[in-house]
Amino acid sequence: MILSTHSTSPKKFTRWLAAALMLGLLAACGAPPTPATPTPPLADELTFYNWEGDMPQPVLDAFTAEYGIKINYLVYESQEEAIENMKAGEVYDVIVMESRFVPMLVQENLLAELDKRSLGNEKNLSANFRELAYDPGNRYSIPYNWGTTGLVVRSDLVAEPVTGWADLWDPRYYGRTGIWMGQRREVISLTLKSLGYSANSEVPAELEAALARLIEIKPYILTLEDFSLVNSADILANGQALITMGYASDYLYGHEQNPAITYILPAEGALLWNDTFVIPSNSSNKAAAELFLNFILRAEVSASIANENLYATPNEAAYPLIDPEVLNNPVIYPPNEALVKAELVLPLTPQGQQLYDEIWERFTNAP
Amino acid sequence: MPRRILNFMPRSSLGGKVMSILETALLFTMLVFSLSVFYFVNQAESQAWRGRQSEAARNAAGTVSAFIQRARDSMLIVGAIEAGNLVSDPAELNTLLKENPALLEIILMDHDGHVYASAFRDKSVLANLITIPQSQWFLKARQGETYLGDVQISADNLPYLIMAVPSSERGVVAARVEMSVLWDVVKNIRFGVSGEVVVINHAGDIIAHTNPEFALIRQGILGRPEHDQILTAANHEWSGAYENFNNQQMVAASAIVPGTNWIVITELPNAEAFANSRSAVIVLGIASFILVFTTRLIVARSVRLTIAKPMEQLHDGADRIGQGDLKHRITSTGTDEIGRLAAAFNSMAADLEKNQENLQKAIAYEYEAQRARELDILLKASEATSSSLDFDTVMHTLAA
Repeated sequence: MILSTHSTSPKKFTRWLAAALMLGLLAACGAPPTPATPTPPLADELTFYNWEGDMPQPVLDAFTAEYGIKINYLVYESQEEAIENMKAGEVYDVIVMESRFVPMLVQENLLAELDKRSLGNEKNLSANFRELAYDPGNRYSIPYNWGTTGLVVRSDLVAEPVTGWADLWDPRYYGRTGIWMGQRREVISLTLKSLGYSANSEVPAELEAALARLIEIKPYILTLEDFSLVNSADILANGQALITMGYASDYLYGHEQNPAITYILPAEGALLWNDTFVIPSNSSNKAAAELFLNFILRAEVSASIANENLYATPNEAAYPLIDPEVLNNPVIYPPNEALVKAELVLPLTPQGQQLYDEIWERFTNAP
Repeated sequence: MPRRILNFMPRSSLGGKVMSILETALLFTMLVFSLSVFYFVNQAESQAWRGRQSEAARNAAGTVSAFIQRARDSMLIVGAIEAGNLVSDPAELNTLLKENPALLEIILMDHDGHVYASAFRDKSVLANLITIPQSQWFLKARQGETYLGDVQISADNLPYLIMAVPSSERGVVAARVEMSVLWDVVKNIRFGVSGEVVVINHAGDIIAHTNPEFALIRQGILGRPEHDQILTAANHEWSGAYENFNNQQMVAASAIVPGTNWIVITELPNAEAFANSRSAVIVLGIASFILVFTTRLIVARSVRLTIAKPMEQLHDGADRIGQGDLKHRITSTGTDEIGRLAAAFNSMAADLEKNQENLQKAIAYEYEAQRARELDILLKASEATSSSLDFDTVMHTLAA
């Protein structure tokens, strides 16, 4: 018999080859799945920047109760003030912003792009609010509400029926007409409309004419902010003012106090506006902010806001839940026929914006 | 049993070494052969799926394009009708809606966005003066462009999109198009066993998918490598591999939908696309294993019979001969080296045996001769002593 000593290296080599033959080829047919990215924790508090009284407190409380995220509600007095603060680096998580400012804010990288996977309730928005020119596809903004800017009138105290913007310049009402100084763009636009120009005119001569017209009534105009009002209902109801620029909510709250308060869509054409929610790009709480927006987009939440604020909502899923008196109110949801001459307040070119800023400065500095 | 058979020869033994060399050579040959076969099958299959899927993508793109074109044709018909006629007879729009079930709403507007006429299947949405002047579709179509919007999902999970075309009177015709019809079209496009079709826009949003859930949940491929590759490919015709949303390895091809900025992607699981390669790997693996195992058994038996066993016999025979059993002969019928070595051993043993016999015979002869000589001396001494008692005479006689 042939004797031997134990040797393993050839065996190992052949095993390696066998493994390479069987496993190496099979490995070429597949790869392991990629592990999922962990989700970061949500913020404890959101900073919400908006007009005063523009969001019902019960809605904010309901959000906090459901998600445990507190809402720190900060108030601005004008959109321009909000934008200046944004540009200065102030940090907010959600801001209510007029649609006309959205393109500029996107251009300046001040807005965060929304993650639509977190906004499943966006489907509740009506089809005609999905592809608007200021933000096609709503990539940076979510429509909040919309409406008209018209005239709120104490109809029983005016000398004759008020029909248009020009009535703000009627000497008979000097000292008893009001404008919202926080709405500088709308004030200039309504003045342009009163002169028969486009609300979005960037023609210097037309803007000069508007400035002259504004300066003409400045000594006699009421600045509504001076009354610390959320709407003009109170001073119309008590007769301090007879005609103010205003919104549906001014009329509806005023009408409750005095049925003589009416709302007029001016013959020269009302102004149209959209408010949107945006998330600033410097917010570190984007996930929680999107959670908040998705909450607002719920049909029942949007309906409760619409019932309380008396502004039109673009949330069509909310319509069945909105008080029929609100939904069928032509002041809140005006029919097409009433809007034939109405004009949307559009974004301005940078040159146009500069012109408007100059006009406004000269107006505020005028005696 | 196989273990005993496989292990009967230690690796350090001659047979074991022969077996190791053989196994190594065999496995290496099989590895090279298998890899070569796999490579060529894989290449052939890769070419095949690229061709098949590119064709499927083009076909799917054609189907989607035809769907969009039908909606566009309906709108162009409206755009060509004199606005006044539609105002006086808006029933024509209702007839059009009946003829094209994908149209949910259609409106004709003037250059300023004021509505001449409209008809709708479910509800009036687009004919709204708040939104018309600021709508992307209105502004684009008013500039003479055809507008095709992104797919939207309504509150009741109905997919739709908005299309708009310029009218003949500088106005705009717009429509809401129900996309569940497109979803059905995409859902019914079949290729392979489990192939899927995805329609995306340039932004990577999923417009339609074989599984509509992906479109419903607003899933998109923005930021994924394949999205960039598709966008940068010539005419967006791309093919490659990626991991899908279910972490499944897929191969895919894309094609642009004519007349749109949409892209159709057809995707197929790797497992199906490379089924033949996979089968080839499995068959080759099993065949290699059987071949190696069987060959090893046969060769081991052969080595045992032709090398190991004769060597054992040779070893045993050499032992016995060494121990003096010169009559022992090694049994070997072979004519190979071992057989000849055994024969040489046998011949050596025979020679040793013969030499030993001769030696024994020589010794016996010498013994007999010595004995004869001694008897002769004794005889002579006897004779001498009988003839003379003189010692010197006797010794002289014996010495002679």
